[in-house]
Amino acid sequence: MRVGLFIPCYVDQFFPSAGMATVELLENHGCDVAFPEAQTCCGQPMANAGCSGDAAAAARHFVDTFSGYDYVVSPSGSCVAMVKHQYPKIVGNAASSVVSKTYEICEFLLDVVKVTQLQASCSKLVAIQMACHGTRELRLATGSERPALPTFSKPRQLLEMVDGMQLVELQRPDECCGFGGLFSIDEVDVSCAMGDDKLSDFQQARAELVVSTDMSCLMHLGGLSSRQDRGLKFAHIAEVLNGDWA
Amino acid sequence: MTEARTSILAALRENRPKGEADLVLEDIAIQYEDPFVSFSAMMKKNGGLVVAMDSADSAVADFANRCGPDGVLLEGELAVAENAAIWIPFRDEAERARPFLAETLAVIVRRADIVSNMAQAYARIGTGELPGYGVFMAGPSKTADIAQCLVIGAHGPIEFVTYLV
Amino acid sequence: MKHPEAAAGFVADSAKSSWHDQALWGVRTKRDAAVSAIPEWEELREQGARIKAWSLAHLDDLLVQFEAQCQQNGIVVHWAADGPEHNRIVHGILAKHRVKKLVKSKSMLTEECGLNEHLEAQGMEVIDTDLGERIVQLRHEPPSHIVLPAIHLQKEEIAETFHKTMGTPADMTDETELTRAARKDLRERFLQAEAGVTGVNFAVADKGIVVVCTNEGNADLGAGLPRLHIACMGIEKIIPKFDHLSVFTRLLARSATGQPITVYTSHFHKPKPGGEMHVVIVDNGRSALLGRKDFRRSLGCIRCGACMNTCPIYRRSGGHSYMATVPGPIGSTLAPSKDPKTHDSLPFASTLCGSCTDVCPVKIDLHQQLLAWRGELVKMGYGDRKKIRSMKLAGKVLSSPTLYKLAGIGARIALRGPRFVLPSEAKKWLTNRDLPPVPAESFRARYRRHQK
Ligand code: SF4
Repeated sequence: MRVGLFIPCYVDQFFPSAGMATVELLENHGCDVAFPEAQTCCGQPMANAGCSGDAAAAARHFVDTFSGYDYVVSPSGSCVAMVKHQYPKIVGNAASSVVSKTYEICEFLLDVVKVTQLQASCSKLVAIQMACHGTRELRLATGSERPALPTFSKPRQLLEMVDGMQLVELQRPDECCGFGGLFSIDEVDVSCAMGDDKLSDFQQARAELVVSTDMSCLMHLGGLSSRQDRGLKFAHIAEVLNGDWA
Repeated sequence: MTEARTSILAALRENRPKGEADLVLEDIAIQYEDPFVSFSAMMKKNGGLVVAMDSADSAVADFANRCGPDGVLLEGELAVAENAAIWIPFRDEAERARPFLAETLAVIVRRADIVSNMAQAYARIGTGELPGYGVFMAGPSKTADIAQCLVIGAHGPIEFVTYLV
Repeated sequence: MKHPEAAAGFVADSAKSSWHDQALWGVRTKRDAAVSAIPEWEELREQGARIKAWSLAHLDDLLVQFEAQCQQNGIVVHWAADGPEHNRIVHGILAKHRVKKLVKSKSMLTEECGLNEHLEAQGMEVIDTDLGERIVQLRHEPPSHIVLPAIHLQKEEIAETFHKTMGTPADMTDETELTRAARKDLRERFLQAEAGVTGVNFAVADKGIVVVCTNEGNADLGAGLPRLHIACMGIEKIIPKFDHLSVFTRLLARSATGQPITVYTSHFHKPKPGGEMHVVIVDNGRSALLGRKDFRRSLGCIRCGACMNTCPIYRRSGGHSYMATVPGPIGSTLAPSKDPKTHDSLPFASTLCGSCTDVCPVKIDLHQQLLAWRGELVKMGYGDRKKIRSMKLAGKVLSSPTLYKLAGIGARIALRGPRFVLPSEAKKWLTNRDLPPVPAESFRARYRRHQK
């Protein structure tokens, strides 16, 4: 199967190892991965700023770039949610060629590739930073708001396939980290207060490494942690699943 | 008055969402094997007292001992297991505020009148003649308006006793 | 002032902001526990949403039916197009009965209309009787939450208010003693009141019943003691059938406070013998909102407050930072429909985390509405112009692979350079946060090597 890889703009520039881990994971599980060089951004920053016209231009470009692949996979739940939930609203029918075949990496590995084991180990105490759009839009896990439903978590299910994995339990497992794109700038005070609370939750649980399906959360949390010398490490879930944190 | 009525209704007609399908609701509400047990547990959680009695007469006697003249004793028509609410229809109309002024309020309900859930409760109430005023009561009055600290006894009764007969 | 500045003020007192966050998270936790006890919860929410959607599609008919039923039961029905008309009607009824003192139980609608101020200006004494509302009334503040009006205050602050206004000992900070003091003070006022005003949680069209849900018993005392009862409701409080009450009474308290039901669920069907009951039906912008397809579902709100308790922004910024009658996620979608200019920062006071949408007992798509509002506001010309210009530029860059590559290289160089060359947004980022170290190679570069 031909998989078109979508790497969000900030991952391309700042977190190349998250992107590479995604490539290797997919290739090791038999996918024929291609990274179309013409790709830019899913358009989420513009859409979230209320500029849906400008987001539409980016969205059309995304559709043109990716419509020829069997699947589109991305190591960003937030971008995937944008494609699946917002594209139909902003570019209408044009979106249909990508909407149903675009996947976040964890759901792709479990639901399409049907991965049951991984060649990876990890020696750290790991906390999962459940990114909001992954939880509440892509439904990668049962949100804490819906306790009457059966509990599952795709990121957790995959992490548990990693040798030696020790996951810690948070007091508020899926509370928002406070990034929120432009929110992190517009509402800088609330954003940082939220991030600080998250960091404290990781630390009370004795986590050493924080993993997430979205690097954007980790860019914000990592930025706060590093400024305060909290000593936490951060990694994209694909890196851990790929054995980069053995 | 009529002017506002006319303009509101006209605006609502104009802006009315179209194509809403018929409203048919399935019966989904939880059923309890032993409604009596659930009711009692819930009432305790709500801060009320549950006293099992063999007859209404012994309940009246217990009530006289327990509360003296300041208490009010009422009859409940049905009770609900899922939340310990007791339906109290006010057919004697002069009584409306009296139970809310009492320090202790006691209610007699027949065990046989405990239903599982609110859907069953409303279905039953709806078949009879509705009172001018009726209240589901589920324990003593309470508030947490001061710093989220629970206090039993706000404006209404401070003590709530249920006699199940 | 806009939300970010108002929020910054609240967050600056980090001990209090964190206490506020935890107090409300506690309510959210209780809600979760109550919800877990109901296996059919998600279906129940669906039913709640469907009844509300159906009601909104038949509001005109339902209101007419409700009016006829009420009249048959001896209840007088009034219609008000807006807040001022509502206030005039209520005042007119009170004046006719020569009322000087009245008690009021919680009603966000009268708050929205400014009823207290209106009546007080005409020489009437209005006493809010819900404990939380009484506390903020004594402090001359607006409520900061629709279910927990005084949640922004700690015990000591309330003790001080009671000391100043009711003469309780200055060091009396125990919640039970404070509550008892208020009970005693208000009991007198209930007995003296010549009229009671209540809000309405649900108005049942097929029977002409008004349902009021409280925990304290204040609405029943206020409606039951004086001869005159006036219930004020927005047009959206209508539900079609008596049976539908079961769905909403099952949803409301569990969502609001985690109780299985409010202590009192009171059904007013007829005036008391020798008494009078009036219902005032108010539009005040609601019929216009019904015409806006992206936003009309917000009219289904049953005012449980769950979206506030779960909102990570609300919990840390406090209700007053919204500067709207209804704060939090639902307030942030309701407020701009009335006055987009004043409230243009509210739809942006969200990370769009979606927690509000998932707790809402009637499944209002709150975070989607906030996103849609952003678009509307930009179209109307509100919001931050500078940001919009930069988005226009970003839009161009991001739809062009060449420009995008150039911009990427530019950003990497800029971020290695001294901070003063950064745009103001990056400076804001850097006040409390570091940027990630810039790697030697971008993903693209590494991928190209990997391919060889
Ligand atoms: S929008 Fe939903 S969650 Fe928020 S107050 Fe209304 S009903 Fe409750």
